[in-house]
Amino acid sequence: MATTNPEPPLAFINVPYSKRYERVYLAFIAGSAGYGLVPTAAVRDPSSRFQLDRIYELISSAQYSFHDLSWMSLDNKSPRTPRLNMAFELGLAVAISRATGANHEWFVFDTVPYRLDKALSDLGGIRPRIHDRSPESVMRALMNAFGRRANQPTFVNLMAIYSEVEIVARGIKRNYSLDLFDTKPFADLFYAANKAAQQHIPSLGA
Amino acid sequence: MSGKVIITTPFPTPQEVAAYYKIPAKRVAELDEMINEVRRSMAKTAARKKSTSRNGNRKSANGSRSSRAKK
Repeated sequence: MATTNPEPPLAFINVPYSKRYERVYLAFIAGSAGYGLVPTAAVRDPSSRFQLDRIYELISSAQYSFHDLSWMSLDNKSPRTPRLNMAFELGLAVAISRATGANHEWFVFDTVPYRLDKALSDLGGIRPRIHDRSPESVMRALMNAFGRRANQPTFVNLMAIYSEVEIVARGIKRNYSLDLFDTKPFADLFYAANKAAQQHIPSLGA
Repeated sequence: MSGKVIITTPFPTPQEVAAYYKIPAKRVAELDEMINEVRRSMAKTAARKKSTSRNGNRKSANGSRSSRAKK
């Protein structure tokens, strides 16, 4: 399967917005840059009132979406609840991908093999891509999902991009926002990731 | 869920990324400076690692103990 659109494709990143998942989030941003994708995410946007409309638009305008369903525990705030947003957004992506004339492909990620067969049996037969929340494992999962006809990144290239993004993330935290799951940090992180891709993928010839 | 996807579109340029995210020119300049700083510090760290010997000690600027003894 090969994309033919000359515009860089958008990729919707759907991960838990939690400190525990910061490295996963950064790895998806860096990995998207490494494959020439432009990531979008439902990061907090105070200017936007209707979150559901915004998420629907973001997913439907993206050609790909990454759904990390590995957060399956109850949160700590009372009343303790599971976070259902990730599964809900996957449902939206599946519906969008099945609409007539749709151009959307979705990928599911988890940290425990075969767990989704039980937790979300409607996906029966679909094997999620497994990672262990380390950037290395997320990059390997992305390498299994994507290839490029030209300027194919290696694992070393992807990790070099990640390393730069991680340092820029520390700079953002030091300078203006402890929360990376926000509109401005997200844009800044991807700008840095894209610059890192130009630098570390030799065939791009930075 | 999809099988392996082969992407054929070009990589976005930093200018295209800045335009897509509506990053103002001033912020782009700040980010470029931050990225250059990151690269300088990474290069420095890599050079420091390279000059570290296998047992974890830095290489002596005066040469090894045996070569000093010969002097």
